[in-house]
Formats: sequence, C-alpha cells, structure tokens
Amino acid sequence: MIRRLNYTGRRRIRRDDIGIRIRSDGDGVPSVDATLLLAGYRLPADARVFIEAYRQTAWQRLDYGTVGEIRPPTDRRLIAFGSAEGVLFRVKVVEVPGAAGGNRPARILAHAESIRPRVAEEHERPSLLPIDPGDFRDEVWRLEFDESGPPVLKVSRHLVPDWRSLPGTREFMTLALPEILRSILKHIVLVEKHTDLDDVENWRTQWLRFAAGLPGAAGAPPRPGDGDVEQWIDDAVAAFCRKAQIAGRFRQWWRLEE
Amino acid sequence: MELRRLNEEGTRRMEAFLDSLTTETPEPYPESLLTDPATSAALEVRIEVERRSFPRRFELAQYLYNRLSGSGLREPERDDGLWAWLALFWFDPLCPPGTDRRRRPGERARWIPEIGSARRYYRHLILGPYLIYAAHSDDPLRAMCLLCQAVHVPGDVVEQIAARPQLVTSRAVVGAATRLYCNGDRSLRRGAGGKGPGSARRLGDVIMQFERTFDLHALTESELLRMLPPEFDRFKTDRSSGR
Repeated sequence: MIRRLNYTGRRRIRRDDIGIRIRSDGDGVPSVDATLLLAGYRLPADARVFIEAYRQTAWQRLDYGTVGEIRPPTDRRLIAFGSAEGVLFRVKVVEVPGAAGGNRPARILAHAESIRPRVAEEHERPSLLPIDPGDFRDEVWRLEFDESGPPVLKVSRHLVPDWRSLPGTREFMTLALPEILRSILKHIVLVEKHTDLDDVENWRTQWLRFAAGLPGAAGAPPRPGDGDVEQWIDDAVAAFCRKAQIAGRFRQWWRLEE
Repeated sequence: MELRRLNEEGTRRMEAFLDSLTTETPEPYPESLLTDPATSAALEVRIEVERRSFPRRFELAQYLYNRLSGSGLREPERDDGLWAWLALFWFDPLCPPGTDRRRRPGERARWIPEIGSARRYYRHLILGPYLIYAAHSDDPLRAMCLLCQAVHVPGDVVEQIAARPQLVTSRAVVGAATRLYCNGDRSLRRGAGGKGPGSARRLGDVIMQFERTFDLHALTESELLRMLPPEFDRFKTDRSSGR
C-alpha cells in the first residue's frame, strides 16, 4: 500500500460539523440539504466551499458559497444521479485561485470524505461498520476496504434479499463478527500501521478506541515493532467476545450431536 | 433484437454456462435465455440492439449511449440484469476463442456487474466503457485512453484510472492520461501499461498524491501535465494523441 503524505496542513472537517440529508421531491430526483459548521476551523472567509456527490463514474459539485458566507445553491437536485442509492459525499474548502500568487492551482484547505447521507427523519448515530447490499452471488458477505473511507460489510442482496437483517442474526454474530473485528484491526495496525488514538475523526482511530475501550482489553495498541501487535489484536477480539457473550449466544443455537 | 433484462433464474443459468466453459464439457451458448420469459423480462421501453462486433470499447460505449440516453429508461446503469443480458447477447465478440479454440470468460464481474462495488463495477465488459463514455459524454474523445482497447481486453490503463473515482470523474485527469498514452491513431502507446516510470500505474499514484493537496476538478489538462514529474516527460514529447 502506498502511504500518502499530507504536508499541506489540510484540515479534516469533523463529521459532527456536517449534516447531509437526502430528500426526494415530487419529480423523483433526489435533492440535498446540508448544514456545515465551519466557524471553528480558522479558514479564510473567502475560501470556497463545495459539496460533491459521487458514485461510480458519476460526480456532481454543488457550490455552497464561501466560508464567510455559506450560501446553498437554489437548485440542489442531484441531476447526475437517478436515485440516491449508493451516493456518497465529500466536502471541500478550497482556497481562492491565485491566493498564493503565481499560477499555483487552488489548494484544498479542509475536507471530509466518504460521507453517507441520511435520509430525511433519520437521526441515529452513524454505525462504525456500515452495511451495504452486495452484487456478488457466490459469497454471502464480504468485508471491503476502500481507499477513502471506513470498511463496509457487504451482504449479497441476491442470497439474502433482507440483507440488513443478516448481521443481527445469532449465527452471523457468533461465527462472523469476531473475525470481522480481527480483520479490521489487522488492516488498521498491521497494513496501514495506524496506532493514533487522538484523531477521533479518523475511522481507524474510532475502531482502535472501540477495541482499546473494551472491558478487559489491553488498552492502546503497541506501535508495530514495539510490542506484540498480534497479541493485542487477539486480546481485543477476546474482550469483544466476552462483552458480546459470543460463547453463550453460540450455545443457544448450536446443538452438539448426541 | 429487443433489449431485455435477465432475471434471477436467467442470471443463474448464465453463471452456469460461464462456469462450464472452464471445464472439459462446456455447455452450448444459451441463446434462449435472452428471450424466454422464464429467464428474462421486457424493459419498460422498447430498445432495439443488433448483434454485431465493435472494433474498440469506444464504439461499443457510443452505440449503447446513443440508444440508452434519452430512451426513458430510468437509471439503466443500476440495472444489473440489463447488463448481464447485453453481455450474453454479445458473448461471441466479448469472449473470442483462444488459439486452442477454448473460450476463457475470466472473472464473473466481467459478465454480471457488481454495481455496488467500487472496486469491481468498472470491470464489466459493457457497463465499464458505457459509464466512462457517459461520464465524458460532452467530449468522449477525452476518455480515449480508457476506451481505445479491444472490447474483451480492457487492460492496465483502465484498471489504474477507472478504479479510483477521484480520477475517472476528473476531466483534467482523464484528458491528461489520453494525451500521455494515446497515439495519433488512438491506439495505446508502448509503456502505458505495466509498472515502469511514467506508466498509468505511476500516474494514478502521483495524481492521488496531488489530490491530497489540490482541487483536481478545478485543474485543466495543461496545468496537470505541467505538474507531473520528469518520469512522464517521454510521454509528453509526442502530442499527436488524436484529440
């Protein structure tokens, strides 16, 4: 994996400061309502604010004015998309072209990526592990890591038409969830070598804080090379299993042959 | 023939056909799946398609874009049964036999699209070029580096650019890639694929680093080309990219 460096001081906008909701008007074209709280980031008042919707090769930018004067566009319909299904958003704050003089392209001053919109009236806290329908037909589920966002649990919509319900079943919880947690922690600590517990807006940090905060877990993860990372992951998974009562739930449905 | 969509049963039987091609007892081409009401369904609008071959992904995408856009069909790009039907309909040019006369269909996503997977949707042999063409329909020649390949061999340049939404949706990135990697006759230049200096793989990595800093969608092709490091100079020298 290629590590990408951020030398520019680009700031990450907290999810709590972004609210993106989708509503559908009479014509069936989805439309965006967004609230942005950017006052605390000390960004230039004249910096441009954009919200971008994207899915596959479709992309649409909405101009939300400037940091000093957030002004939603009158037409906020997602005309590049026939429906809001699978559409993600990013927020970008971009310096005014030519702000630094010369011909340098406009820099991104602050951003937030892979934002899942909420449908109108939905208020619950975003899940640490989003669940999406998958188009595959040979596997029941997959854990997918994306370059720009948190891991997503995908469940085959062909094999499980009621795909949202699968992760809540006792069979899935007991057989799959501990290994899913192990895979995610391995990816974060061993592949991406991320051990930071302070950057609470980072999905990796959120997972590490979840694991470190489990009763009986071993606290903060060791840095790769400083300790037994594999053991820390095993301890975290064991702590998760105790907290979720995986063994007891398993015994409820598993019957040993007489 | 009238374009239809495969249903679950049709898709399942198409999968069985594809699987059989890797065995010693390949099944015959299941033509009837295309029209049998038990395996396919009519669309909401009537669209005619012809059984024909296409020299490149570009002509395939153009042909379909001209038929689907403005047809009244709602979100055809989300209709996996439609794309599976088309892949089966054009199976012969999409899966030509090798020198040993065997057909090798490759991974399932080439035939039945995984529309919800950002890592696989573009691998479909028909939906992939269609989406790229549609995204650059204001100037499709801009995307020639992603559409100049034979319909059954998308290749490495497509894999490197189309797999990253930030890149494939950017006019500057796609236009710059075409300028770098397409010859005047709109074929791909030697060295565009692979891992070498200046390759499309390196272009993807370098631009993803730029993307951390700059607003890619505000850049022009020329600005982006000027920002590239010297390893790309050998591709910049010949400007006869056919655009």
